Amino acid sequence: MSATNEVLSHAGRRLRKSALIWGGVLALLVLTIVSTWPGFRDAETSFTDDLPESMLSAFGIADLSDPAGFLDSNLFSLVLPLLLICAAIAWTSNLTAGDEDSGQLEMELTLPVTRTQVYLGRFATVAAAMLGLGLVVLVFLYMCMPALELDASYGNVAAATFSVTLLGLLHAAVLYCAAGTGAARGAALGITAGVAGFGYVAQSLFPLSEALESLQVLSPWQWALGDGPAQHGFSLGGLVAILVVTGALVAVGTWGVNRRDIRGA
Amino acid sequence: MASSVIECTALTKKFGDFTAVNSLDLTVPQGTVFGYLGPNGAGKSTTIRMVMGVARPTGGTVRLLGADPAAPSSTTTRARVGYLPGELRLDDRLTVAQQLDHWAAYRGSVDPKHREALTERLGLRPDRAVRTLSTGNRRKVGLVGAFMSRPELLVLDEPTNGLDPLVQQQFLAMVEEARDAGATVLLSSHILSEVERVAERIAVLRGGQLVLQGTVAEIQAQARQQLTATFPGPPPVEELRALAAAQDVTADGTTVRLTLSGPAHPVLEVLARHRAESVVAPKREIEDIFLTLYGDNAGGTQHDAQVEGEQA
Repeated sequence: MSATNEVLSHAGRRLRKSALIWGGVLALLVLTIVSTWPGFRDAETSFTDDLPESMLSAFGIADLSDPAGFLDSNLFSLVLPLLLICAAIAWTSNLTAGDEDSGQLEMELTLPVTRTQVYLGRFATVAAAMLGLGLVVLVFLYMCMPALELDASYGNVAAATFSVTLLGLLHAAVLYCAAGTGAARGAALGITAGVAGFGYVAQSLFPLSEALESLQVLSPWQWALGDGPAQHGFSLGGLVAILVVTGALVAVGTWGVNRRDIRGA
Repeated sequence: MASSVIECTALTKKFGDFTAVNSLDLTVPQGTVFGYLGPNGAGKSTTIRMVMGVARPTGGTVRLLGADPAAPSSTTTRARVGYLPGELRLDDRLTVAQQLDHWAAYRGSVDPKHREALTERLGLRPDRAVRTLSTGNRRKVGLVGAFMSRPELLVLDEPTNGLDPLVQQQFLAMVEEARDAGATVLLSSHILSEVERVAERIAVLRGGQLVLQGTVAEIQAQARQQLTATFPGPPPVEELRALAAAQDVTADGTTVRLTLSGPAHPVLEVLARHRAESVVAPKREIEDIFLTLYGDNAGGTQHDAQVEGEQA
């Protein structure tokens, strides 16, 4: 077995239990949220009628009686991306900065394996696990939608799920970059949480300010969610931006870990 | 002269303003057991981390089996080295066997029978969860990991920390067997006795600088000879004190103790003339040299604290 295969299988074993738990939690979340759909569908008055437009925009609330608007508002605008970001940064943190802080990485990197193999292999494992979570969400949505007469476009729902999964992966890349360039676990988590928080605020609140509105374009959340992915499908420009930034962050993190001391226990 | 497997030239490591290793010139010849000694915090682990490529020198160079250990291409070099870090951290989610499997998968050249024999020899149970192991048993896992691929070079940083005396003996026997099979062993320790038994060459580091280096015999020759003589009557204390070769002359009844610091014959002549009944000259202990070198603990302790502070 090559060193790369061992990196992948070892990281996979480490994430397996956690990934199963996260998968179960997200499946339950999907079931819980979509099970509220009949109440929204059958409501005689719209829940959003009394809310000002600015509030609806700030919290990503669309027409809740529309199936796609319901999914964008209740699932894809905040809860699902937030949980996917949490999973992504928890896993990446454990496999990079956490391992280094604990002293385990030192031993690993004295074996016949390169730093690039270990770091990139672990990021690839996180990416695979994230895609697995996205698949769980999509499968449960597809199972529930016909049963609950949630008539959104299957293609757009797949696009929305993929977009928020990539948003989680971009935050994994932020943590990877911070850890690769030498940040300890706490600092790397703080930086990544800051990026996630800024991104959410820039996407949801900046449009309310004339001065800041133009900065919304800097938000990864905006790249992933656009005007509502379940309603409008992929934002091609946004997806390209996510992939380019994720690639750049991974490249910088890999470059960084190859040019510094590894912390001992 | 055998070729060297580790070669440090003017090797320096600084953490900010603090110098952890200062212009170290060190050569570990092939096929020897090399004792790398020094008090806690002297810079031994920092040197070894540079040798293994996990830390980069601030100045100077280090070569491991002829290669730069920090270069990405050094994986083939690292495949020839068995390493036990001073602070070994294992994956608590694994069993002993799984941890060893993981390391072996990277090496790809581990004889399962040899690994099993080492595991049995050190009294490890492969099915035990790593998280349930004591410090000493974790150390044993690290030792099996270092020895199991029969590497050309073993780099062992404080390997006997936490091991009970019986296992320490087993470990020293394993080092001797590896040496007999042609391996080179860099054995770092702050305990002289365990190194003295197996090492052919010794280097002593203090405050980041090499303060002593040589074969065990050379260093022993530098140790001052203790001598105890018993006389039928009052010992010739004043006469002995008058000799330049006799230092620290003390008397207890008819017995006199002294330290030789020069040619022995003037002292022996006095002892013979006063009809000494017995003369005891114990084997010269190089420990005396180390106690003298370690004696100024302020340097080492301060160094230790600063290294830990810089690395935190």
